[in-house]
Amino acid sequence: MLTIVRREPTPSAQAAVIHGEPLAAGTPHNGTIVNPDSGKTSLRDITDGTSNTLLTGEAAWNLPDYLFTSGPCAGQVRWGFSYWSSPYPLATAFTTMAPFNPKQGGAAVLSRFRSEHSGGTQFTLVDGSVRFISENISQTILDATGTRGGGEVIGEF
Amino acid sequence: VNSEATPDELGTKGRSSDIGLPDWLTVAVGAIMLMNLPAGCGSSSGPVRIPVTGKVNVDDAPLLSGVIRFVPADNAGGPAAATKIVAGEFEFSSDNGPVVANHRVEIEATDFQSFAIDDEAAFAAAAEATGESPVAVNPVPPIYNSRSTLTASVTDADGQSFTFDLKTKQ
Repeated sequence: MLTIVRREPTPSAQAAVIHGEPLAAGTPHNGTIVNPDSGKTSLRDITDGTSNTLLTGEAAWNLPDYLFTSGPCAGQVRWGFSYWSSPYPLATAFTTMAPFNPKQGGAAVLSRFRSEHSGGTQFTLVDGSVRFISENISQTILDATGTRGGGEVIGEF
Repeated sequence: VNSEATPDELGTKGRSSDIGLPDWLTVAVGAIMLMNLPAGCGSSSGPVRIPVTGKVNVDDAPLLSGVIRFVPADNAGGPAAATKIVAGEFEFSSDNGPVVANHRVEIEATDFQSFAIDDEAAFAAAAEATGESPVAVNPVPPIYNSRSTLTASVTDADGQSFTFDLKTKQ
């Protein structure tokens, strides 16, 4: 249930990607829900088509090796890290970068869409539909569904 | 099925390493196959993944902590694979390895920042102290990750190993 940012297969736009780390200020996003540096996004900006573009996806609290690193709970399992709305870079910005649907991996996979389902993750697309996307989906197609205006022709997925 | 169950990506400080595919999952997967569910949710066997290994050096020294990703290139189908680099070495299993394809390879360092990336308090303190984003620059330059030109051709042969020698100064 978080915002989407995606990795970009073309070198020139890859700077827009969150690499599982806080995103540097001033770097625009190429997904649907974007940071202020990207300007406003409205429906007319979803040029890849609202039925081909992800809006939000699941972010399960399911990482057994993700621990508190500081404070009174240090060392205890934290399971996840997300807010509905937060200025903190990691909390709401997600990416289609591998690994998709991780079941472990600690802090470094926080920004990856993931679920408790077997074999994939649920997403809401911009047209309001909900799709279950297999974790075996082609990375190329997964990336394409992440962009709002990448111009990819992705066909069925 | 849950072939991504052990992506064991990117260790960070004090993180435990791989854990195998849990028994309950193996059972669950078998049960799903027996149930002969319609195509879609978790019923297909998934792509063949190749167990490759390798080494990553930065300026001739092993990369102590990082992550490596194999992303199918040239619009090749199949999922990307990612795993962590520990003490200059990485290892994929047949559960999380890359598919047979030419891959674009991306390598990043982890654990290069003075505080954990999810430590909001430390982040806020650093931001206040410096007046700008306290996100440190990854010591592995973008030509090896966001603008990577690294490639690897993965076949179905046994025992494939790849060595990547990265230079921070060209």
